Amino acid sequence: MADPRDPLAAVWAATEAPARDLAFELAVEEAIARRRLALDAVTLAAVVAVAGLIAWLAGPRLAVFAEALAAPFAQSGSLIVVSMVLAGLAVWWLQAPPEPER
Amino acid sequence: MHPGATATDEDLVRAAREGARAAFQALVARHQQAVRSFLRRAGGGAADADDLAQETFIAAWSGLWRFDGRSSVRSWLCGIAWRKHLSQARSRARSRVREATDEGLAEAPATPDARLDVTAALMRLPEDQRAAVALCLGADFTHAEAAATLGLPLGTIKSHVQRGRAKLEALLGGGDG
Repeated sequence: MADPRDPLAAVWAATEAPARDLAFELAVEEAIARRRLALDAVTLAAVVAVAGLIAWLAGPRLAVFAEALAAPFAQSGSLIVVSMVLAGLAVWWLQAPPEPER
Repeated sequence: MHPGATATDEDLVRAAREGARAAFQALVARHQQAVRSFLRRAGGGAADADDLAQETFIAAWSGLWRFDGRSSVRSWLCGIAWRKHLSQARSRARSRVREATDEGLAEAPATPDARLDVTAALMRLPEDQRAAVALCLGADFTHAEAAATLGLPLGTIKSHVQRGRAKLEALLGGGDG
């Protein structure tokens, strides 16, 4: 680029940045990492705020819905719990590795 | 060897958009010289130019989706750098006016026959002319590329380059005698 025959070559030579500059590249990388972190924090805060707002607004309705959903199982609740515990034990017993033969 | 040494700029932009950090680092490594040199020539010292160049790359990272591939990446980056430079120059001019008004001081006019060094000679050109000269003569941009980068008409760029070159040669020639 700096043609020695060019009378303006001295201007370009005096103002040319280095071809590689690790300090500059690292500074850019660090600034972008900071920006990314800030964006992630803002996004997370926004998601949490929206989720909290939804839960706060819809909470009473959801509670009514959950109660309505659970009503048919209320009578047989203890039976279901016992069945699930037994099923869990059966799965655990079936999946246990066999004892080594002596 | 740098990670993106063989990839094209467009490939690197695509990869960077998808979140590849190494791709954006490769773009910075590839174009930092052009952007920093342009800003040094557009005005201000090396330190100011480097700060602005850093802001340019951060803005480019935030706005990767805006790159449409109609211009080169180098031209796109220099365009961002130019807008940042103009905005900084405007805010500095405002604060200088405020200071001058507060203190009742006016900026001292440049001495016409002062011996100019090469950088000072460049700074004597009007802003747009300096940028056009820096891109077309200092960084081998085509006139069309410079027009797209600076957002100026092609004819204006051609005349800026021609007049700027003549003025620079005159200033530098006068400085020697």
